[in-house]
Amino acid sequence: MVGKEILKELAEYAISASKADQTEVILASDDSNTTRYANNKIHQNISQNTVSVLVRSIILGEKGGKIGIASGNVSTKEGMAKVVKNSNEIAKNQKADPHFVSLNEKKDLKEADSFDQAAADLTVKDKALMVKEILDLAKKEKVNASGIFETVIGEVAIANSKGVFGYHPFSSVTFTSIIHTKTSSGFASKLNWKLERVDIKKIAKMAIQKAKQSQNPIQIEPGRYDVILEEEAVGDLLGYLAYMALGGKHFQEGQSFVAGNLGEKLLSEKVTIWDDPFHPEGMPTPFDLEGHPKTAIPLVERGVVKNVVYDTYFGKKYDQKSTGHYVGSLGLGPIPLNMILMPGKSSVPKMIKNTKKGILVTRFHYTNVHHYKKLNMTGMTKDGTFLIEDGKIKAPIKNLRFTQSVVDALLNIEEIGKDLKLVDSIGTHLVPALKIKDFSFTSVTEH
Amino acid sequence: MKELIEHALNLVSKKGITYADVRIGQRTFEDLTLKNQIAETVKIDESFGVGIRVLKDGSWGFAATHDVTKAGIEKAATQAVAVAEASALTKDEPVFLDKAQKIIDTYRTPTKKDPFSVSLSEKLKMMAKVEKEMRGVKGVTHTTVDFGAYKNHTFFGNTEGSFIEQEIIECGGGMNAVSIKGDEIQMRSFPNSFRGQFKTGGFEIFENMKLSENAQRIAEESVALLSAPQCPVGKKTLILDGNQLALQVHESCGHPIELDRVLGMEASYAGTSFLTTDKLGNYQYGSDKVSIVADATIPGGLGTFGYDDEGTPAQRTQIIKEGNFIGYLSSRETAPVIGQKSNGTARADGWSNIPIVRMTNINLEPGDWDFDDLIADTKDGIFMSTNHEWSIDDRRLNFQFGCEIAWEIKNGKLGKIFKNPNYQDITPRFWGSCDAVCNKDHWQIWGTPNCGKGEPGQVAHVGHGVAPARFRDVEIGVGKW
Repeated sequence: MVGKEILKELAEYAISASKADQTEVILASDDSNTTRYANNKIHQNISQNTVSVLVRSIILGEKGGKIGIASGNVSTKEGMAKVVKNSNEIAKNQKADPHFVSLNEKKDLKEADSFDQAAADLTVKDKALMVKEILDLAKKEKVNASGIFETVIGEVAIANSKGVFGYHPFSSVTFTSIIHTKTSSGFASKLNWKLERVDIKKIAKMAIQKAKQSQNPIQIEPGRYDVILEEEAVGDLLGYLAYMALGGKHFQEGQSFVAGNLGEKLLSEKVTIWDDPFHPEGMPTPFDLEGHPKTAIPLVERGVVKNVVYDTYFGKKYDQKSTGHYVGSLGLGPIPLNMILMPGKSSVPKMIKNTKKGILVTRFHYTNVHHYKKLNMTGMTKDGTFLIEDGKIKAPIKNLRFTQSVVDALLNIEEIGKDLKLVDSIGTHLVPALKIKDFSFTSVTEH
Repeated sequence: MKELIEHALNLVSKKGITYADVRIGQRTFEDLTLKNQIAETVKIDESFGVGIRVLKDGSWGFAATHDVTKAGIEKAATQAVAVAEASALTKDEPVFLDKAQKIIDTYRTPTKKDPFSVSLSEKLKMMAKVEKEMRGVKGVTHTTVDFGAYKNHTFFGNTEGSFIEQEIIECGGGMNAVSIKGDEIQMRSFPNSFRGQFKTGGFEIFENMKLSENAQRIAEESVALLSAPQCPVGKKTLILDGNQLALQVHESCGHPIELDRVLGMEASYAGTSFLTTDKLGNYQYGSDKVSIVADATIPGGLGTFGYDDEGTPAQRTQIIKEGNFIGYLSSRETAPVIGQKSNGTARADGWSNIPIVRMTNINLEPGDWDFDDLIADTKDGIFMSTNHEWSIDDRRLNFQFGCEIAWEIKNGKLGKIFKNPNYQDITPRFWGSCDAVCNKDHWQIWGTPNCGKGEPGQVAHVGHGVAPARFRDVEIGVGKW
């Protein structure tokens, strides 16, 4: 960690060195370690110590703002000066953007607690010993374990020539467990900023149980089925909803299914989604990457899409207020990165009991979007897929490919789980399990 | 740089390691996007740092830092050894590396014009001209032109005495037209989707791309697709254009032949492979029309270099010979497991990542057919071009691809266009159905600069030389539209 005072000093230096009319600096540093295991041993172990700086310079004129962006991985004044110079030079030779009005203005910024000292104090030896316990368990159970135990200890500082300054330290702990038997695999994972919330033994046991339950899968015919999606699968689909549909850029440019339909009921009335950057079970984040304060914002309420998100540039372009969703790139546009799909009252066991014939999905693999407006997607099931009949799990099944519109899926929700899981999927979102009727599986694979 | 590398190697050598390598890297990336007449992204990124990899007690450790000073290197060296010692707490079989030559050499991508020496205003002017030509087509909604240039300058040294300096230069770009009407959105890209075509080489790659010559056509096709009929459903004869076939080769051949995947080392993320070691030498991957090579020496490929990131020389390996599976991509750690030597495919995404087995240029060898003759020979089929999306299972068997556009083939002629074309199959059945590959007149090397693998995630730039090819009885038109 470089520390708040040094980052502030570097940011102020960069702004003072800039010859542009407006300048913004994003500084970040992190110490990360990925302890990776496969075949019941730690086979890759990677520690990275990086810093990054992104400078946006703007030269204002009658035709708009000429924006130059330069980035690097420097932590000295000399290095900063070079990045600033590059950024200024690009701005000078750029075309003016008539939509650029101004960088973010100074506002009061809250703090958010998402830094865990216990995570920061964990050594590589500590982690290896913790993973060893899992590997010993896997060997005892005669299964093959793979996964990661990753810790990221980081900080971000944002400053601009309009007086904005924000600093936020954070931690992130991820444990994944993928267990293979001769005929099956199972998956479980946990992500949080607090180490004590990541019980790696519990996660490994869940994955082992899933793998054992999935052994000797049978093949079923693809078709339309009622489906129970566990949280990881729901998170996968929701991440695409965030990026392709609920950002102001895609909305205004007509590429979102919400375009022309804001304020209308487009999803099931069971669906309520907020973007809540301060939720205690999420990854609390106080401001966006231009130092605009974040607040909780309702995106969908009882199926009605009420809001999409904006940053300063797209807010001014489309006469909207920034909602604090600048992600560091005008190309990507503003994106809600901390969504919560409000939980219901059900649970996965209850959903199974309520299902005459359906499929239980642990997670998806390699999902992708075919039609951006309809959010037609495809992907495979993976790591624990089961046939349900008459309220019980009948058999594990070979993995299926789905081809399904996410919008249609969210119109066909029958039940929503009461428990939330934090899932990393184009943002970090809190999602429940869902039971959805009439979900389309279009082909099957050999395992 | 040599002195710093030697300093790192000396430090770790005193700590009981059996092998170490050090990479100092400087990367520069210029990223330009012109969208709807606005220069939406005009960015230069520079990165400089060092990665130290050690083998101690039979286990790997790796530490990378941006601090390329003696003090920074000392800290990273100590950390790398500590990481290896931690890993060794769980080891069973020690890591064994094959023997390698000591190499002292330099390599630089041949270029005619350094892309970083061309002024920004000249690049933006070229891009603006093309964007204007697309924009002139009635009905088009968004028009984008992309340009990218990469320079990757690395210094490699190891405890076996090798010292290699390499400078890899890449350049490319493309254009994209999006048309939106009501609930329909269609797009066309040229020469390829997802920012375009990239190769190793200089600015001449972008200059010779024929963007202007194709701008109007691309924009017109994106508009025409709005009212085109939906791709039909059923089992059809399918001909794939080179820019789509490149990704097909990538996903269904390039990845399953990565030996680290086969050995289970990627099971936690990218998956495993159906090409298990028992199949090597006695498995029919495709028809006898299908021969595939891995070639890091071919000029212009994104996977072309002098040495991989373990110091193994670039080389050519036959992977599939007339349908028979005979080769993997391997590294110094993975090759000995099957009694072989590394064939030079250990590549790292920059100084801050470890080298892992990656594609180089995975090429489908050309066949005998002229493209026009292939169409004329097809009574009833579909010709698809330009990838829109892709998905494949974790063993690389069940795949589904969507393209931007398709044409009906009826009685040997290209006919009407279809929108939202996609197709699905199982890898060996698909390649087994290949009955024709176009000849070298239609063969070119395509760049895939966005191949993801590894944890932490890495992005590799790889190449695929292909010519259009024909496949029989493929499931087309998947899903409800």
